Amino acid sequence: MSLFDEDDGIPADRVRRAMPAFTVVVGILLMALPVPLAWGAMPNLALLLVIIWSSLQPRLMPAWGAFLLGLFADLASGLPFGLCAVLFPAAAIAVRLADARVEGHSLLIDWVFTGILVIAVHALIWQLLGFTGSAAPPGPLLAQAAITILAYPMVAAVAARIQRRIIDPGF
Amino acid sequence: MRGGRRTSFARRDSNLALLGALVSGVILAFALLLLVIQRVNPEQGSRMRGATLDALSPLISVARAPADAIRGIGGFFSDHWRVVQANRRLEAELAAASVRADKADVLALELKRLELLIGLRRPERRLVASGVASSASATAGLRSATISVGATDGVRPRMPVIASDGLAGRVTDTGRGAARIMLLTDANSRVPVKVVRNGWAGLAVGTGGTLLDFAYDIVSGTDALRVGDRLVTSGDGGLFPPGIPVAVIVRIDQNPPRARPLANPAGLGPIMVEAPWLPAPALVPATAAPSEPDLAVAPVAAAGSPAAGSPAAVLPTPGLAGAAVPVAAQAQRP
Repeated sequence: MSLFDEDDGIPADRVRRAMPAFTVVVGILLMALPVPLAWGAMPNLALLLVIIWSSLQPRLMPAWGAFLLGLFADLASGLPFGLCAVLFPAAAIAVRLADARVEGHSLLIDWVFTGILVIAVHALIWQLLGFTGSAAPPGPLLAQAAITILAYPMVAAVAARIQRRIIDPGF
Repeated sequence: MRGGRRTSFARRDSNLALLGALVSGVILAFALLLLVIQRVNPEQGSRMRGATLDALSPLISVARAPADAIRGIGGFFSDHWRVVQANRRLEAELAAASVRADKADVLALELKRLELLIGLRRPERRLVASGVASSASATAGLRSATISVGATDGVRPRMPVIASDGLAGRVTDTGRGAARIMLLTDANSRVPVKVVRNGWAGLAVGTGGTLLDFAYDIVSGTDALRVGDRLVTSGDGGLFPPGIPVAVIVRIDQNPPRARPLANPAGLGPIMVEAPWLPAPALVPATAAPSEPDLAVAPVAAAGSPAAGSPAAVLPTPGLAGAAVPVAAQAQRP
């Protein structure tokens, strides 16, 4: 089973395959939209969705897909070009490595693992922002990491619903 | 037979896994390379960023509508509650202010006359474009907003952006019909400011949060910063025009003191983009000035010329004279 087997080109199949990437794009757009709040109080939806889809549908969220989504996230949010493009595939690969070692899933285990990953990624964002010469204070980034972790169950439920309804309707 | 097939499948799987790991490694290396390029040349990818801004701006303007409406409703109610108190207070303030305004008019006239006398050329502020700004976007580590004017309106990176309440920030990326601005609260934002009441100069430093740090050197031992002191741009550095309201001091128990930006980043509304205040000097070859004649030779002329006259005479370049003299002129204000 490779990524491109028996592709008869029916639109429904294409929609099915593009669904994870599409949800991440929606997440990026939601994050780029203005919020009437003084702090960046939006969870990092794009990162969260990349992590969730890497676990739910590893074949539909390959490293190169995460890379392209990361490039788009950089362009849309004005972050240094290449920042999310490094961190999204890195997160996808980390999820894949962890899934290969740990059997079974429970909400708590997934949540804890996602939390660790989100904090690590946000710490790396902080470091890499300094590396590219637009240093940011760690406070708001950690606050966003905390909000992201709190949002995990909700986003995971939405992703699971999309998985049941659109990606694997027979399941 | 069966076993052989299984091993061939297993081999293919392990080969695929190896290939996958290799591809992942190449992708990560490529992305890291992009980051390194970004460090060496921060302008990299600015055109693509501008194009993305153009593509997103209609979406942003649609999403702005409910946020603006909510703010409008909130403003309506709070206005309604406070209107009576505010009216009384404002009437008292108006009476005091009109007296001061009369004095200021006289002073302004006097200043104009003196400037004419010494031939001072003050650089003009130049409006480039006006549009509306979205509220700040939700990216942590970056405080930015999108404005509805771009390169086709003449907007360029680095230009100051001014909202109705005060300074909003500066342009960082431009698309054709939209631009991104760095807000005052961004951790990389530095604005040269001075305190209106006593003229102390310093920097309004963004912290990434809601307040600004006011970094300054204490000038006198007898005066101190007070809560409510207003900060305006000083014009130092030549980017921001002087006299634009920036922030008001809200906390002085901390070091550095904290100031709240007057233009609320959560709702900038209509904005103006201006050209950088001082144009970059066009250098022409010139011989160095001869040394000054001994003061003892012409004591009357030295004593007779006013203090403000000498810098304008020594520095004939319009940009430099404009930068040097307003400080002296503004220091005379009460």
